Amino acid sequence: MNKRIVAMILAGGKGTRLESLTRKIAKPAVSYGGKYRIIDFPLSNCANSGIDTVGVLTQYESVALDTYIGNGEKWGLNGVRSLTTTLHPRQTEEGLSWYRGTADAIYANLDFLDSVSPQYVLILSGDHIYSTTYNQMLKQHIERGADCTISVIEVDPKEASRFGILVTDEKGAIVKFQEKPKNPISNLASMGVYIFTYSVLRRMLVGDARKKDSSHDFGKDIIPTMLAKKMKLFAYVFKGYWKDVGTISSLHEANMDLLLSSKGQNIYTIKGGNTIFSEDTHSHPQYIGRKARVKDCLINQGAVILGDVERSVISNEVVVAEGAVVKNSVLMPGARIRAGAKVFSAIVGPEAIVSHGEVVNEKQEDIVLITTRRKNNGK
Amino acid sequence: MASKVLGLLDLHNSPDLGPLTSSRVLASTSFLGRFAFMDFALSNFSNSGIDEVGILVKSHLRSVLKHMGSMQSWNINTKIGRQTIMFNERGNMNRKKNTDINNFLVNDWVLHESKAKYIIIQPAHVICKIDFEPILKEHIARDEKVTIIYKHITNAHKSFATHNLVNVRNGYVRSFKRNRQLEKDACVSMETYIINRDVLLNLVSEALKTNPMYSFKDAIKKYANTLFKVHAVEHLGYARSFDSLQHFVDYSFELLDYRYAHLLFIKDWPIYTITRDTTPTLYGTKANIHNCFIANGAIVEGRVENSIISRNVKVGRGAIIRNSIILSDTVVGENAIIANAVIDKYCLISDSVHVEGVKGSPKYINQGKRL
Repeated sequence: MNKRIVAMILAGGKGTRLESLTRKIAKPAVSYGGKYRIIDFPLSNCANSGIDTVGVLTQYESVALDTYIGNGEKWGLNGVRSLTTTLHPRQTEEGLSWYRGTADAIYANLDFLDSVSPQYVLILSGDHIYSTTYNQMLKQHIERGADCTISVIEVDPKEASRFGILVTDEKGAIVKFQEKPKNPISNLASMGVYIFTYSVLRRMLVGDARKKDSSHDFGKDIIPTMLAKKMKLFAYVFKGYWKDVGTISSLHEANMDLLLSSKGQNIYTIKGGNTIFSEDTHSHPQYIGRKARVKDCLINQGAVILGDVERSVISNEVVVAEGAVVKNSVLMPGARIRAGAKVFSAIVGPEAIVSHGEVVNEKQEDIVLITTRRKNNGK
Repeated sequence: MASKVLGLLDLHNSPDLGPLTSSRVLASTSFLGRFAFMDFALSNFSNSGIDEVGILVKSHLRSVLKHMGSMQSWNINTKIGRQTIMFNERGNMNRKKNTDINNFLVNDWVLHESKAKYIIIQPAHVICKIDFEPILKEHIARDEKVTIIYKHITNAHKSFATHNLVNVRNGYVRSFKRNRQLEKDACVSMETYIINRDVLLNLVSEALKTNPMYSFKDAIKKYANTLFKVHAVEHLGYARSFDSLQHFVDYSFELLDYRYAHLLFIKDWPIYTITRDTTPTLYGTKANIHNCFIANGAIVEGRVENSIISRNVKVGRGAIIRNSIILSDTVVGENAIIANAVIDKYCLISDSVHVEGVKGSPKYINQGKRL
């Protein structure tokens, strides 16, 4: 097989700041937008870009994520010319080793990349929400004869210290790179989206793997080394909606961004001309009851709304009982809001229940997370 | 059950729903905003563990193919399962011979390639949930040749008009007769049968000798109690025969009532359909919705009551929709009013336009109309 470009999606992270939402599933598998899981976005972006070979690198709580990804059928990545596979840390002659960093995860799977022998490798994060195609970025990479192209986005200078920050010259060549700097020198943030020419990437990863003092990370090790060697690194400026949801409140905010009342965007502007492919649950049609009030919401099939819901994102198989009130909240699949319960500014996790008459977060000072389940499933 | 049973979805007896089915078969017609009629019968096969399915198509093959796609949605169109479209090409030239029996003969390779010992025939226009596993078990245990599934109803004068009535005694059908809609209390055939392979082959050859225009329905009626006895099994659950535009509307609205819906939408009995990867439904700040099924992909900014809104429908601000069914991709403009109507796909109802029918006689708007 000789592929022009292969995508490798880093999906092994836990997402610690998402608290108990990621207790049993990896962050890329977290529900979003009533219907999706976060990883639907990078996978749909690949599908919409015509990238038909995708490796998904999983590590933390990978069972649910691996099952979800399957053979890539949900994103149309299961055709005769496509290949979708999950890649886990494995036992080798040298023993068992976990992925030690983002670069190490790719290094550990060089045999997979060799077997498909791509010209270019696209490295993606499994936990970013944005809808795009990578075709323009690849075109730029090829035209400039780059070794590596990094997708960047302008961020609020106050936020800049959370990201890898870089400085470019007038031609877009990267001249400086700082990983999560205390005093950022620009507001161009790396999105963690890289295109490498494969021969270069291979050489860099093999070199890095030998270094004892390396943390085997693209941002901390590979990119600085390439800059030091004066290799050709370019920035590709991305314009549009992009979210790296790290916390409960940013996950809540990203959900609210989908609504018609949100300023500057909604689900249709965020997805642009692309389709976000996802799992199709075999649900009944969504039912809105006689006494229901539904305003400013995004609601998925299978939901039953008998109560009052406003400014909320509601997933499949959710039931909001009569007399219940849900405002400014995200209800994940299978959540139950019982009669008379009131939920304000909350994320209610998958299968979680808010009992009869219970009032959640009336003060609304912050976004709260509810994950009490009907059954504990022995876990 | 996989290799023992071949399921046949028979579209030859589907009733005509007037303009709604002028360019498509009922089987592929939109139902509850999200499904096509045939999804229910195909899900019955799939959930009963039947992986080999043939679909006997009488006409409007285009609309069937459009809905079926790769056929992976319902059944396991995999290396161990198979789903096949059986189209009666000869029937197109000779309409009178466009029967399910002739179709079956044209496509007899389906049975020859199959190892199935039993054939289950099901129509698409009867919406019901049937688990064939226990019925087949009983059929085999009793060593029956033909089993029919019937339903006892108390409104035969107003429903199942195209079906035969069955006179059942001691577990067997004594006689069949047409439903002339004279009696209220009656047992109706659900046009659903289990037939042994050899009995089916014999039935087909006998039927053709007698009358080349016979359908399975005619042939079973004709040869019951001569070639074979017909074992009768009563279906106790929900079943509706969609045989007119009025019934299409009434039965759709009936399912808005949870007392009916819960008979059809059962946990562990999913209704499979094709996915279109549409976004969830988006409701505006001025939306006002009561007693509705609303499909994904819709954007609703107006008022909608006692209605069914299908995929990708847009309802503009100030628009009012009451007691209506809006099929997919239709746009309802701002301040438009729609009442007691069925609006077919891809229509454009411009701003402030009124489309109003009367209760009991829904106004129908053709696919693609601009008003």
